[in-house]
Amino acid sequence: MSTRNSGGDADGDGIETAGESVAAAVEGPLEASWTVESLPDAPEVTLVRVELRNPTAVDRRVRVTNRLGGPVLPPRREGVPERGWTERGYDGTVDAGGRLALGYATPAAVERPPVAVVDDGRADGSGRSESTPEPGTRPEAVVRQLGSPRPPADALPDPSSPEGGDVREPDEGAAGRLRETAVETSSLPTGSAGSADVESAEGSVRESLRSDPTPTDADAPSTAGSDSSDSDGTPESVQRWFAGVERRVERGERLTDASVAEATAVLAAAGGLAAVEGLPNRLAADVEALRRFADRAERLADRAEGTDVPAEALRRLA
Amino acid sequence: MILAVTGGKGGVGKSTLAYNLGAALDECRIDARGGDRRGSGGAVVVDADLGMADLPTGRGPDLHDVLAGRADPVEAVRGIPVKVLPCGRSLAGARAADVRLLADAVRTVEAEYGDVVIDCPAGMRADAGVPLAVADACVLVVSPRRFALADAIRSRELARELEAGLVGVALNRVVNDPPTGAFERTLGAPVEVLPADPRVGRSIGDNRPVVSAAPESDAGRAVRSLAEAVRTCRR
Repeated sequence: MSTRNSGGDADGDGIETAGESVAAAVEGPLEASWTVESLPDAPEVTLVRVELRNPTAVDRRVRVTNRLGGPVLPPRREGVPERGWTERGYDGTVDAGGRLALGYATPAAVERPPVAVVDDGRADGSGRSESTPEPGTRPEAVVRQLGSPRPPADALPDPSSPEGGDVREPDEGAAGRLRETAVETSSLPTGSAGSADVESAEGSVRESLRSDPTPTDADAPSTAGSDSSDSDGTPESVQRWFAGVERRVERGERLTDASVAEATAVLAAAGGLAAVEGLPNRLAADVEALRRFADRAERLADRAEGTDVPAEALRRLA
Repeated sequence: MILAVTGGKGGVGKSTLAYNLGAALDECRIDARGGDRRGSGGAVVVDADLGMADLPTGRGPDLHDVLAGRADPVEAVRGIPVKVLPCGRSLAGARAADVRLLADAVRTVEAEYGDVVIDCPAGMRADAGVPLAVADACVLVVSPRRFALADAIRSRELARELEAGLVGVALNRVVNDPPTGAFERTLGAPVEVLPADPRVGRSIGDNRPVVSAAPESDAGRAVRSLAEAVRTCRR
């Protein structure tokens, strides 16, 4: 246990200096000492350290309660407080003949003593005590052990940018799709997938796009006016887009885990390797485009749902 | 009872199987009660893939809302013929969701409806772990490809650590002779073979579970056998 020369009452003269550990009064055989100090750069935050010692031959339970004004900020793993810690303090067990060192922070002023330590008796394993080993199946333990599944904050779109903040600019996305479509078109040389000459292929690519359109943001406004909708309210352009994606997905599904016979059949139906080589990239682009579309649609739906047009009032005004 | 449908890798068909198992368990329930399905009985399929929702969403609160404390789990259950508690589809929603709340949410749904089938995400993080921890039992979905067995073993180990007993293995999208014996011996649970039947692949999109659309097909029979294995493990 660290005992910096900046506090406590080691010489027993009744005068405490900040930082050195101070013995705490505990009823029972457990022994405890603590240090308390505020952070030099942040005097409103106080660090408390407690050392517990068990001189007996049996494990003993202990309850440490924070006496300072703020809540306990306990040590955490994967965002979850370590086992035994609560907002109030710590509950645990000190092994026979052993030591237990604890530390926590709290946004409160220094006070002495910072903690109350209670010897809670023998840890005999019977009855439900917070110091008995936490079943590894509790959600908190699972998160600590396996890691939080949260996407990092910087993966989220930046709401201030025009498309809701997608990393790729719309034209970049379209160019990417052009390149991949260029590979799929049978009129191109079937060299390596990435080396298709986009400039020279652009003519035939535009042709294939027209028959298998993937609407970009630029497309959408111009087709909106002439679009009719099906019974779901889905505009024709979107239906065509979905149909194109569905064709690719079906092809991809048939090729997933396919046998030799199955794969051969798909290749034959598709008209050769060229049509299928770029499929993984194309599907990845499809996934991204669909997810972006879905996000956008959901946000727009939320906004639409949130409107409250006062029809009656407007009628009176008109 | 709470059943987790898991299987380390993505794309093996967990969601489709979870959906179809939900339908089959619902059927079992009707049969058990002699054809009288009460108002809110039955199985609910929970889409616990917080980062990539697989089951249809529809309108209303979803699991992202539930795990962010914005909605009660029962409010988020919907769908016919298979009841689903769908997941949200936004990154922001995934970020706001606290996976630790999933356990209680699932228990609440179980208390209300009777059976829960959790469609687990791929991987080994807490979003795959918490469903296993809350589940009473699990079903592993595996691809018949050569290297899939290693992933399946890892998933089985995780399930074991989290005390979810393996009641069955679904060998999915089988085209040729599947290595059923090898999988059974290694994973230590009965293996049901699901052939690459397009009706299974379409079941979610068409909203037609294979046990009702094609009950006598191999796939339909396999799903029902799995459901039967699950039923016999009820507490």
